[in-house]
Amino acid sequence: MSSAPILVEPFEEPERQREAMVFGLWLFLATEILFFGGFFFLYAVARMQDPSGFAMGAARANLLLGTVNTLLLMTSSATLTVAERAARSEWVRGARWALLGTLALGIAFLIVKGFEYREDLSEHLFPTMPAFPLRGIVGATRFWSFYWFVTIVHAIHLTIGLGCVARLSWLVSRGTIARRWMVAEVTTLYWHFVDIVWLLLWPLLYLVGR
Amino acid sequence: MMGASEHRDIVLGALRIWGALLALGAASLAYALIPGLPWKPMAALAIVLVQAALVLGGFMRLRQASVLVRMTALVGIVWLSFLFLMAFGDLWTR
Repeated sequence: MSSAPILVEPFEEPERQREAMVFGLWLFLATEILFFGGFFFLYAVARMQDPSGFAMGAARANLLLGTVNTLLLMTSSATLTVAERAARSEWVRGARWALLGTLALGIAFLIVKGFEYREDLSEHLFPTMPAFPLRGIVGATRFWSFYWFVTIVHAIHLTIGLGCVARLSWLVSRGTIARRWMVAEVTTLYWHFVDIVWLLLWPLLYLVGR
Repeated sequence: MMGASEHRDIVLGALRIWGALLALGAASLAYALIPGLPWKPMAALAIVLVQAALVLGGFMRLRQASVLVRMTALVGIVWLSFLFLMAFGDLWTR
């Protein structure tokens, strides 16, 4: 089987196609930076207006599960990097196992997040719940509104990423991953971006107020 | 096709960055948990910036990317910084 990359219209050279794909993905990521940046701006303003209330709210976040998830996502970035570089180098077996590892770590992240949500809800840590324990504390209420909104948006991004990684695994099973390593490269860029967002969220949500 | 040494290089390259990310994460956690230390939010953000730089430069290979790609990556951050500068400029001067 030829290992030359599969080219699509209008590209005639692999390097031009790669440049266009990477550029297009970064253009999308630039919009994502602005999208998440708006959330971080909200966070900054909410925290500035009631720092002590905000810290009181943040102190109720589950540090252990948040830290476990940080570890899972960091590790998944490493495994996906191995998968992408293995695919580019035609090391198909390495790519297969690294992709499976990434899928497992990503799914584990969502499962841990699910446990964390269950615990948060059992403690009524949702601002509109009648038994919300921090009712009347403006900063704490804003913290938990931010927490739910941003972690759900992040989880949606991660789920989309899992779909893309699953597609790469499918390309491995079809034996075309070595010829489609550019797809692996742009998928990896998206996944790493989702990882960076979480790296930012971890101290903002779990380390504040400690 | 590649040899075992090249396979090892691929894995070790990713592991090195992963190890650095892990060490920085541990430092961030330790600094947050030790009572009485000053500038905790600033320290956490500084560490996150180093972690993000590691992911961008090491995993996302922005250092090896073309000028066009690097500029595109920068554009989002530049416009975001305008949002922060203008909005906080307004808030702090009221």
